[in-house]
Amino acid sequence: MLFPTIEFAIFFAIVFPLTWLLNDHNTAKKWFLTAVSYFFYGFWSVPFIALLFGSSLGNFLLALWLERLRDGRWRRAVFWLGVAGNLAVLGYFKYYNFFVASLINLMLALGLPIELSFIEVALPIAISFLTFHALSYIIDVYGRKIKPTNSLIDILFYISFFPHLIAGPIVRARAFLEQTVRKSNPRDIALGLCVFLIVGGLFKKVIIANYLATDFVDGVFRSPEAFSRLDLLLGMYAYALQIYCDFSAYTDIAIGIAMLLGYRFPENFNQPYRALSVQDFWRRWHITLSNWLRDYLYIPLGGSRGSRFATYRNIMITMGLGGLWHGANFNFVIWGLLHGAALVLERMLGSAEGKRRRVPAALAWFITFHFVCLTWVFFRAPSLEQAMSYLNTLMFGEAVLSTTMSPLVGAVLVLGALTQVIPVRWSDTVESWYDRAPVPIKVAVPFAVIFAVAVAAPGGVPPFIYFQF
Amino acid sequence: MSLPDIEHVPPPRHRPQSLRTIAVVIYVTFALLVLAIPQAVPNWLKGFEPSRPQSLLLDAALAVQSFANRMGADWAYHEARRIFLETTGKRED
Repeated sequence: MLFPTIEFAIFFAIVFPLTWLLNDHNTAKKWFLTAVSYFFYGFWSVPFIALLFGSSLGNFLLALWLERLRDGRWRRAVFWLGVAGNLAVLGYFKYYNFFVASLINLMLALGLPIELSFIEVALPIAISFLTFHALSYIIDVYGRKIKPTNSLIDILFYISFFPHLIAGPIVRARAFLEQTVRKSNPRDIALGLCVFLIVGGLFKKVIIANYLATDFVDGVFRSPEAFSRLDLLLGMYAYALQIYCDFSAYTDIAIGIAMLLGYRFPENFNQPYRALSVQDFWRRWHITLSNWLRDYLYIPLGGSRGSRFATYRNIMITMGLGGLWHGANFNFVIWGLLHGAALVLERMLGSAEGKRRRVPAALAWFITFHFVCLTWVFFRAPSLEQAMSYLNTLMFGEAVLSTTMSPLVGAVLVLGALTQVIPVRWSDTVESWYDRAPVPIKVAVPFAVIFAVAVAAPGGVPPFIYFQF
Repeated sequence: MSLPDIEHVPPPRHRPQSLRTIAVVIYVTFALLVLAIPQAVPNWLKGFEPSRPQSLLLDAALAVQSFANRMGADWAYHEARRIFLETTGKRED
């Protein structure tokens, strides 16, 4: 069930009033929202509902066990058992075949051919996100940052809550669980913010991301050698805006939907292509993942507390694994490692701290933006060979300045770019105006935007890019 | 610039609205969309396996579509869509 569909509109139209009718009965409300979240998940795959439930139950019991144990070897062993269990599930479904293929190729290259069998299993949707939610809970319980809940429904609800279940944002256990202990207050709903997140998200996904993908990006990435260098350059920019509009649309809608149901999610994007350094980019792009990797991987590895070499090593490990989290493909690992290398380089040059910025802001932006766009080629291309073919043609292909980009796609590209330059205070002003407006205007605004989206929409809605992760 | 504290998500600053106002915005918007783009729901329902509930819902959706058609409520959508397709050179899928 995709957000920009009629089935989701009907689903939400039923869930919204029932949620608030149950608001005075908090436990019943949580059971209800959990049940509809399982229904939402079951829309894609009924058998994997058992996986979602099993993961939640396992982590609930493990957290209670951890709480009862005193600090020491046993507690550490139980904790690592839990981490390994979560990663084993993720590894089995998502990475098993990748590791087997990599091992076979490695042994073949070493002249020691081996025979290992592959498995045929469907990848459960959202497995990466639900694993990170579960890990966040048990790591915080182990670190005694939060007390484990005695209520199973709290964990079932936390891990399965449908707005964040499929593609984030990654909500910390503490941030979510503290909102579930009492009934929600409808006065906490920022209606203007919700409306703009939801209709803005629909516009970004249905118009910008979809047209860029279907009318330009998919073609140039399918056979880059058939396009001019200008097309490939524009294709790189278009994909940068497509993935931003696609992914930020999903999390914007998720944040808006959750708030309408009485729950707050953290911000996940902050105009990432305005970044003046790669470090700045990661403070603006998929913020909840950046935080997760920092707190649960980079800092436990030692962070920047050790020698310079240790810091650089920790950055590379964190970014490499962050890349691998996106998918079982060397392209994602290379994408992550390239970002890691850029972060290391920035540290070496001291520019990331902003203490001695050696380049003007415009040049820093230009370098950062083009670095990010170039690395997206590895992220988008289906294989390493195709990524290299794309970059090779872009750099050394025939110098033709004509483009196959249609005026419509050009206009959509400009609209996508505007999402990065519109000052944030403008949206604050518009939301504030909306909140003060009379009810007919409050209705007219979302109606007009959705109507306009429907008028200009291409047929069908492709899945969100981050669904595969 | 530092990363925000995501272990606590405070409510945003805003002017609180009553739940009734929020519900009116949601449901009236849905109702207006159903009238302004009345073919959307029947087209969606036609994609399901034929069954008794599907048939009942489809009849109801077609009745709404016919009503919107008679009222001219879907005129704006069709005109706007036609102009969009003409301007961009795109075709209906």
